[in-house]
Amino acid sequence: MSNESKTKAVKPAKAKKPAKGEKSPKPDKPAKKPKGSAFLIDVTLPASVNFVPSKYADAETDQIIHRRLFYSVSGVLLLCGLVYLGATVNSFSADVFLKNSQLRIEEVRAKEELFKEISAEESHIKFLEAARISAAAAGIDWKTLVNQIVATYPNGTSTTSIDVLPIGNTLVGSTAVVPKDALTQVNLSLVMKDYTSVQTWMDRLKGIPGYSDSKLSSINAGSGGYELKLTVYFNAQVLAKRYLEPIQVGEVGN
Amino acid sequence: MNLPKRYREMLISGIISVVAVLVTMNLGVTPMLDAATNANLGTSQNDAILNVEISRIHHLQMLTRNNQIVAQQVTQISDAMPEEPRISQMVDMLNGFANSNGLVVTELTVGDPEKYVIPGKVHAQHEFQAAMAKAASSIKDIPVNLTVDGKFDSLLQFLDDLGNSPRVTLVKSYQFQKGQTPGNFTLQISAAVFMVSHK
Repeated sequence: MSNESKTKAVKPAKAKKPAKGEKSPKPDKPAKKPKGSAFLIDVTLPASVNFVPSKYADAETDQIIHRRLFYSVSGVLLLCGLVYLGATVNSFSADVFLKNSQLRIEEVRAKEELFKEISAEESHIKFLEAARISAAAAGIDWKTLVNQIVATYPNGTSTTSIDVLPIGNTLVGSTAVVPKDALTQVNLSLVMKDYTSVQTWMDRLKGIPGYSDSKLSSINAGSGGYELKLTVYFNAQVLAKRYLEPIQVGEVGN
Repeated sequence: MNLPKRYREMLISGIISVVAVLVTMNLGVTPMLDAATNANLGTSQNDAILNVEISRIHHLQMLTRNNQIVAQQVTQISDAMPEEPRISQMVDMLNGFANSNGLVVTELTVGDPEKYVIPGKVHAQHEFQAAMAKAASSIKDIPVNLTVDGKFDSLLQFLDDLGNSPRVTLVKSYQFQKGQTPGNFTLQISAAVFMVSHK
């Protein structure tokens, strides 16, 4: 008997012909069960018969799918619920911590009220300290500065006058251009015996801390020597910066 | 669209899952997480404030223990920047400086207190800015003009004493002139003695 006679189609087979170029199934592998109602019986497999009608077999598959879908959706919903619950607990505990910290601050602030008097004294000291710093801010250590200027004088120089003008003011009638950084100006009126040392002296003035510029306004020959008028400008470096050391309230040594 | 029943069900289940996740995240979890983050931030800020407040309490307790020192400091700083002009004390102080340096005050005029304006270039110095922001508007200065005669070095020392006096004094301008007595100078000073108007 040929193979064709062993295989009998239960229903007229409507197997598609393989397309051109498509490989035909290998003969040693069992042929796949075709989808749909048409299929072939493979005689190489042990004989078995499924008596369950296809209608009921599909229902069973549907039930399996239903069950899986139900579990999946339930799982997702449960997960969402758990995440929501976790977020709620987290948010609630954060709120509790926040309220507790606010309560603690209020308690401590209430305690501060007990020290109201000493606290007022402290703030008064701090206010007056700030006022003292501000008031003395424009102060200059004049003794040091004048001594530094006098120390630069050439031998045989005598002071006729020293004028110091308020910051920003200039001598009446003066047309001199004030340097931009100048805070104060010192006008010197001197008598020098030796005229030739003026330039050297002016160079020495540049060594004074805070020196900004100097302008020689006149040199006149007089009976005692040469009368010089010179303006020296100084910048912010000459500020004494008094009282900047903060007062340690309640501690000795301030 | 005619989908098979099982695919329809799968699609519906998927949609339910996605909607559930989106609703949970957007309406529930995300706002609560944001709220929790804000609350945690607030808590950590409050903790920082609390630490400062506790340090402050400790500081105030220390001040209470050392209240005598605090009282001395109040007196000292109030003498430096009083709330009243205290003219007679001021004149005594100036005479005291002159006497201690062997000088003679030949002229002294005291003006009325007026609002003190800090020179712009000094105002720009960063060291003073915090203090100025706190108290500059409350400062008044009492203009004082005085003339003293004496030796140059003594006059310089007088200037130094003024600048470092317990009552805050600013030497605004001055002029040394050769005096009539040989070796002596006349020093004319324009100064400001300070007070505070109110706290």
